[in-house]
Amino acid sequence: MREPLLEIDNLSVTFRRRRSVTRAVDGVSYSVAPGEIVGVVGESGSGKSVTVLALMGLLPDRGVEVTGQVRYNGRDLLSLGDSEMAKLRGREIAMVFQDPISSLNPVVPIGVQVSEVLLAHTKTTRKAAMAESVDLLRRCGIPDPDRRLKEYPHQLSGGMRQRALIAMALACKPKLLICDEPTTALDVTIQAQVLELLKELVTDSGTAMIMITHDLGVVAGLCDQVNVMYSGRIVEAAPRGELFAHPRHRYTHGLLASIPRLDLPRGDPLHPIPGTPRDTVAWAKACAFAPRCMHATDDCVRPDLPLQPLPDSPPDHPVRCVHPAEA
Amino acid sequence: MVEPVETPPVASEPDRDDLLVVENLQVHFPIKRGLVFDRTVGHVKAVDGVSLRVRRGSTYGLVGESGCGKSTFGRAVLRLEEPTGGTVMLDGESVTGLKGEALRQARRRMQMVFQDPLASLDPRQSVQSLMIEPLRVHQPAPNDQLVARAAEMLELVGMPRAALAKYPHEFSGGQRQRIGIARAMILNPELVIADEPVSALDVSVQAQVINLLEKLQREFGLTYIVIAHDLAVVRHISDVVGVMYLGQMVEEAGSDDLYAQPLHPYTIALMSAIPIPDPEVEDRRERILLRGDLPSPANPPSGCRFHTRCPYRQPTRCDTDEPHLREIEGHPGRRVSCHWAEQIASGEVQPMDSLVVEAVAAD
Repeated sequence: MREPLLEIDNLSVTFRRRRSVTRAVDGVSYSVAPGEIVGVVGESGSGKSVTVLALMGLLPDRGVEVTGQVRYNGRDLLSLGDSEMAKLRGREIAMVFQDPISSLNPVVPIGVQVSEVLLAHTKTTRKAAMAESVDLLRRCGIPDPDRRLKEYPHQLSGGMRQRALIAMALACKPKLLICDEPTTALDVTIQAQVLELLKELVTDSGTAMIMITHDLGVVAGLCDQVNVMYSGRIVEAAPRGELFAHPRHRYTHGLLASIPRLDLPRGDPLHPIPGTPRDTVAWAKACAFAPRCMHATDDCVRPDLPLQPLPDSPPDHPVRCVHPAEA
Repeated sequence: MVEPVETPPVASEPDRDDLLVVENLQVHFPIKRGLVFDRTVGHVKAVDGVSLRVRRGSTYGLVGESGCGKSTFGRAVLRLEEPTGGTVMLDGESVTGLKGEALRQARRRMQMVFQDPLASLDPRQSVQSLMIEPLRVHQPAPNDQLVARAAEMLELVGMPRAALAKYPHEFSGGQRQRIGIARAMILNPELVIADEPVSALDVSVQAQVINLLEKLQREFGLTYIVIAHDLAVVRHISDVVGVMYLGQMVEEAGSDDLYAQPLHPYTIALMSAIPIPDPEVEDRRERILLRGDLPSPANPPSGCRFHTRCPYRQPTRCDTDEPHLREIEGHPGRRVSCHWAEQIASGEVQPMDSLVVEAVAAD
């Protein structure tokens, strides 16, 4: 096991509005080592994106409370000042967002946007940065990069835009790449191309990667380690082979039973999870999934259930569930 | 109560089994230029000659990537988009030539479920008002009867009666989609076209809506066309699946056969690109990557429209002759639009090595 590059330790994020207090992330811990892809799966509102926004320092200061520790190369990211964080962001830690059209500046040509990253973080000239941008775009699979450099985001297709965004993220050879639903807006054949590109990157350059997605299929093909989040907490974590072979938490189990699979015979009805992700109770009172869980009993109202390995599961497979599924 | 759809007499001619027959449907949008006079400088051929038949009580799935024309096709069948060519026959009657009252009557029999219920339900109308609006137009009756009918319909889709007094924004995505479905079904239609009915929903909620659609189909003998980009979802609910690329149908097959052996290169690539939530399957799978992006439907490639991205492209015919949907020997019930379908099926024609991503687990 390699030394982790990033360690998230007991991270919590609370949003305070006038009267309402929302705990979006509640004591989340996971780590990423160089060359490793860690997946974070969850539905909307599970806190998977807020976790990484918090560690990148991208949440607003007002009304947001972030506690816990995020150690990156021995430094606590949460205690860094804005200017120090700005130096790290883009150079050592880069992020790819879901929607490339809103992440790119619509009135600046692609080439300028890519070379901007290089100019901001490295000692280079405008001309050299442009030349490197061509190279980056080419490596990210954009055909005819010399011409594309001069084009504006709206002139590129969705897949191209996402590649341009990945090129920007890779410009300074980051040690950690955080991808937040990078392929959700793309068609499957383009998704396959982009995922292949990301996989190559990690194997070739030993980048550490956090992959946030709602698509269990993407996780199954790409990630080494998987964290399943529900309502702000990790409910189950395991290496991908173990997780898909023996899902133990009732939520993970239910999720896998509710999606139609292309490779299995048809005819069996799907087994949906009742309710919606909004039907939760606070973790402080009970298991947040209990209102939707078919196996819930009075015991599930016990607060503060720890995330720990079950007696019959391997030590690297902790689960937060009172009535776990059979191994 | 909603009455079940009449089943045709047993000894009827075979055509009676087809509720919907679409022949060579075309939707071409003009591209206009010019400041004072609009000149038409070309056409976006969103749907370019699609033919299909949907059997009564069955589900036809239409898949393809964004821009392939699948949604435009669905809208054109309902005349929400005016077709520029071809015919649509519902139960033996042409829908394409209808006007005025006759069109209004036909619309009652064909309804649509939209992708984003928040966008398709008027935010300023209560659920009650939304639900009885179609009844007012098509089956006027005293208000209390309409409300009772709306409540009944809501119950059928698993929503409480109390929902009638609420507004769309008060519901979650899954509940809104249930309301959208209830609204489409309240007129007791025969054909329901669902355009991406689950893609805006959370993963755990998608299965609820899929099961609901299946339940309603069983109860009322509905005929569905389900349009979606998610092939796994489409295959699950459909009896027959059609795959579209750039405005044309490239392959049509029974949904079990389609996965067992896709014959068109595009279907093969599409299937191999869909991630499967099982690491063992993922590691054993070979992936065929497609080059580049979708060409512009305003200026489709010559010959076979897929030849610019096709991993099985051959030096002859592909870029010059346009293939047509044809039946393939040894594969009953299947239509493929590829010159080399037989050779691909037999393994004689192989994909280019550079586009194949080998399986991770070699054994």
